[in-house]
This record gives sequence, C-alpha cells and structure tokens, in this order.
Amino acid sequence: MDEGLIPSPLIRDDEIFLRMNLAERIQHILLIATFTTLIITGLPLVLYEMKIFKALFAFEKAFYIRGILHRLAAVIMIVNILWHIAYSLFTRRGRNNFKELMPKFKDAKDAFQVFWHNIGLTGFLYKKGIFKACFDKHPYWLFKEEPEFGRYNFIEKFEYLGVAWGSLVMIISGFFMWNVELSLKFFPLWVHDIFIIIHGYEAILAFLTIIIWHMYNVHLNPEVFPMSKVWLNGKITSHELRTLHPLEYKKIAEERVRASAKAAEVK
Amino acid sequence: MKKYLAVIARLLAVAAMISAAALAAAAAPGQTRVDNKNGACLACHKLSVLEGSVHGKLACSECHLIPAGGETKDVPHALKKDIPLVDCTAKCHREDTRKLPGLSPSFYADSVHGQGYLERGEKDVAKCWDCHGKHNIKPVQDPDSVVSRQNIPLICSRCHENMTVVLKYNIHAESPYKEYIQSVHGKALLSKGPATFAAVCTDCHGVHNIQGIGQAHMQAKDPTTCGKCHVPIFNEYKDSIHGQQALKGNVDVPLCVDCHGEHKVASVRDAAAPTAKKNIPDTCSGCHARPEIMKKYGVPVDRIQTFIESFHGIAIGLGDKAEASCTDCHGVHNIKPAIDPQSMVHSTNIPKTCGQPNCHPGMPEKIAKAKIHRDSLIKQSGTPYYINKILLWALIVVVAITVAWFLFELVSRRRRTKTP
Repeated sequence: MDEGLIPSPLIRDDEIFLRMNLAERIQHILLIATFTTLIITGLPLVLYEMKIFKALFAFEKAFYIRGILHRLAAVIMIVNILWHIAYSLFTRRGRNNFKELMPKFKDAKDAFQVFWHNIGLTGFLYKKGIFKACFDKHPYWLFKEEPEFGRYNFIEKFEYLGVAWGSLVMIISGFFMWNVELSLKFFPLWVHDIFIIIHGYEAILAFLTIIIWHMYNVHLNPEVFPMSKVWLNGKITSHELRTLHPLEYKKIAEERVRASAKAAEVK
Repeated sequence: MKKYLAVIARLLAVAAMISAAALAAAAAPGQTRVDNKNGACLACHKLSVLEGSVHGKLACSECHLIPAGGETKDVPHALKKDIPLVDCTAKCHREDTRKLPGLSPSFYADSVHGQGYLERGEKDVAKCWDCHGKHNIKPVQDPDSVVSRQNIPLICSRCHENMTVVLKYNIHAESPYKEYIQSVHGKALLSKGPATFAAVCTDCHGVHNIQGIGQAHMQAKDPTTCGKCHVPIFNEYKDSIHGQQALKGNVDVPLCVDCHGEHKVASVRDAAAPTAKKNIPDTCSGCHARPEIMKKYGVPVDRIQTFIESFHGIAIGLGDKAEASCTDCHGVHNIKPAIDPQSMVHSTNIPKTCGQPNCHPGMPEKIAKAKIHRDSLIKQSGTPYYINKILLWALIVVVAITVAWFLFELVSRRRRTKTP
C-alpha cells in the first residue's frame, strides 16, 4: 500500500485511536435504524408503481402500520438529531468534531485533485509524451499524488452536510405532510404539493447518496473491504490513520512532540 | 332439526306411495282399474310420479294429443314421433295475469326461449317441461318443485352452464350459475338458511318473458329491476347524474350491473368485488378514463390518472382501506356533477366532504377554492411543474456524476491496492 507519510517515532504502529466514541456510535446506529425504516416505509409511496412494493403491502393493515412506523422512525430520528446538536454544542469533543466537519476551500481542491487523479488522463498524456514540457514545469497538473486528508475527508464532510441538509428539508416538508390541515391553513394547496414533491425527491436522493457514496466508502472501498469496523468498535489503528487521515496523524504526532518537549522542560 | 323432519316426511311420503301402489296391484291383479281413466296407459307406462303431480288427475290424452282413435289401437299404439309435442297453452295456461308481468305463460312466445322454439324450431331451448318437469309437476310454492325459488338457479344452470349451449347461442354469461352461487344473492339463497327473498334468476331476467341480451332495456340490466328490492338505494340513484340519464334511456351511463357486476354481485367487503375500495378507481375508469365518452359530457379524462398519482390514490393502490377513493368524495349512488349545489364536491360542500370525521377534521374552508384533481407533471400546474422538472434533472445530474466518479475511483483504487 502507498503509505505516503513517514511513520512518526512517537506513535507506535499498533497503537489504537478512538475515532467514534460510544455516544457517536449510538447516534450513528440510531441513524441507520431510523433511516432504513424511513426508506422502507416511505419509498413505496414514491415508486408506487413497482410490483415489489405492492407485494410488501399484501397483508391486512400493512399500509396503516407503514404510516405508524414512518412517523415513529421520524420522531426517533428527530430526537437523535436533537441529541447530536446538543452533543455538538455542549461537549468539547462534539464541538471539535463539528469544527473539523466544516467545509473549507481545501476540500474543493481535494475533490478536484482526487477526481483527475482517478481519471488519470494527464498521467496518460505525460506517458505518451504529450505536453511533456508543460507537465514538467507544473507537476501539480499530473495529479500523481492523492491529497492528504485531515480527520474528515471531503467525502465524509459532504455526507455529513448532506445528512444535515436532507434532515432539515425532510423534517419541514414531512411535518406539513403529517399535518395537512395545518399546512393548508398557512399555505395554498400548490405549496403543499411542493412539500410532497420535495419530500419524494429528497428521499430518492438521500437513498442513492447513502447507497453510492457511503456504502462505497465504508464497504466497497478496497482499503476497507468488506467493511470498516469503526462504526462498531470506534477504533482506528495508527496505520489506518496514517494512510487514510495523514493530516490527523501529523497533528497527533506534533502534539506528542510538543508534549514531550514540555515534559522535558518541566524535568 | 327442520332438515331431519323434512327427510323423515319425505321418507314417509315415499313409503305411502309404494304401499298404495302395492295395494292397487294386489286389489286387481292382471286387470286395469276401471275407476282410473289413465289405467289403460299406466298399465304400460309406469309413472308413479303422477301421484304427487298437480296434473295427477288429468287424463293423459289431455296433454298428449294422441291422434283420434290412437289410444284404442293395439300396442304400440303410435310411434313417439307420430304423437305431436305437448302444447301446454293449447287448452290450459292461457291466463293473462297483467298484475304479475312475466308470470303468465302467454309471454313465452315472445321470450328468447319461445322465439327459439316456436319460430326457429330449436330443440335445445327451454320449453315448458324443461323447467317445470314432465309428469312430476308440483306447485311453485312446494319446496320440492323444480321451479321453487330454491331450485330455480339449478334448473337454469342445466342449460346455461352447458358450454355447447353457451357457444351455440353466443350467450355472453358463460357460467352464470357458478358466479351466482358465490354472489350475495346466491349465498343468501343457498347457504344462509331460508332467505327465500334473495334474488334468483327469474327475479331479474323475468319468468316466461325472459329476453336476450340484444334487447334494448333488457329487464336484467334495468336499474328499476334492482330497485324492486333495493328501494332506498334506487331512490338515491335515480336522482344522481347517472340515474337520471339511465332512466332516460342513455346507455353511456353506468347502470347498477356496470359497477356491481352481474351474476356475481359481491359485497363491498369482498376484496374481489368491483366495488371494494381498492377496485373502485378501476371500476370508475371503465368510463371515466375513456376519452370518447368523457368528451361527450365535457368531463376531463384525467380524473382517474390524477387520482392514482395523488396521495389518496397511492395509498389505495397499496391496499389501504382508510384512504379516500372516488366514492368517498363524490358519493356512491348519489353522485352529482360539481355544479349541482347538492353535490358532495360542489364548492360549498367540499370543506365538509374533506372534513369527514375519519378524514381531515378541521380542514380549512379555503380548500373549496383549490383544484383537487391536479397533475404536477403538466405545465398548467405552474410552480409544482417547474419544481418537479428542476428536481428531476438535479437528481439525474447528481446521480450521473456520482456513478461516474465512483467507477473511476473504484478502478483506480483497486489497481493501487493490488500492485503497490
């Protein structure tokens, strides 16, 4: 494996770091459970013409139970989100995570770089001797190296913000769909229609995003295949940290350098 | 208990008949009884069934018009083919009971059966004795009579379940009996005890005056026929837009049988019924999704499609029973056009219709002004249409980029992890 970073002498290679603490893991598991329930009980209403969903609702009262489950899952998800907000506001670790998750200009640059790196077009051109002089002058455009990521890479940030934005849209539109009478008291019917349309599209978008982005990153990605176990034990080895999140690794190494220097000073 | 009593009574009757016959035989061995005018015939034709028949006292020759002097000849007195067929209306059964339309045998000649037999000489159409029996004719009120109410469906089925007959005369109902016994009427008549008022074949189709399907205003399709029993519903229906037109003779509008089915009329609680909640949009679409009919009356043809795509429609399509279907808003038998102030969907009544206790209590009044059957996929719907379009394309673009991205990502990353 391309290791990129030189191991720090202050970090043992078999040392284990905490990537997700218990509260974060519970929040994540609750999110999985409610999200899955919401998708299963909600998607049939968007793709109502598919035979598989008609089969799903074959038994008596199935549709009624669907409605109850959907709303129950929504309420649990909202409580979970409120817990997460409180956690991100009132705990040091939560605040720190939130800061780390905020998108920066570097993330756009990283995305651009990873994209061209994966396509490998410039590398191919260079190998064939096209624009050789130009690439020799500006080796950045060869995208030979992958960018170095911090605690959260741009994909993880994108997913987090996607969940945040999606939840906001779904909670607002879903609330008014749950309370049609209230919705129609405030808005004309066509606005209510827009709530329904948005709720449907956002559901498909969230479903596909999770299926493609997240499932790829935590399952199909050859670096973690068949599954990253972080969501279960919260642990990440220093080796994984060094390859997947080198900037975070560097930060820890620097902190240790500083700490040992301080310790030496005290002595 | 009643069943056993009837069986015992029947056994006693049979025993009595046998002993009577034995006594008669014992009384005059080797010679015919002088007091019986049919004695000469019965000596050869052992027809004990005549004993219980209403015609038991008639002379054979009153029905069997044996050529003059025929009965005195030596046996065989005449070959069967030489004896003319019985005509029940030749001397008797000529009553013209206007009070009981169809009951008089004089209607037979103009019925679909009578025309076939009398005019075209068809051998396999129903003749008097095919339904009433030959010698064992019993009063209609007698439960043993082949034409008692309980037995009528069975007696009709002898021909109407026969595919040879069905195909020969191109009868549109292929197995009316099998359908009937599963219908509310059939179940009531046959399995739920003595519900003798449940409609049998003749109640709808007529008795001696049965008409074929080609006839205009065929009795069995006429809403007034159903209305004979279903009085309150008929009164609702006749004031509805469908009923008003139907009674004027308009054949475009749904008659009772068009929504409820013909022989297999089922309860709305039966999941397979065309009037079951789940099937109602389908049933209405039989007319309301057909442009050639809807154009004629200025009714938009997209009503069913917009309903299916609405939240109510999706829920109904997925088998929900609590959600509103066509009839929950428009009414059932009392459907009226939206311009009629009595209509459930007239703008003044819409808040009340939506606000039914099980639906949307507290629905704001302004729903009256909203367009209910709307389609966000057509331009006329305005903002929802554009939102729909934008989101659809946004979704397609995002998914396309994502898929392309991860294909490259996967290929490139695999290459790197395999060969370091």
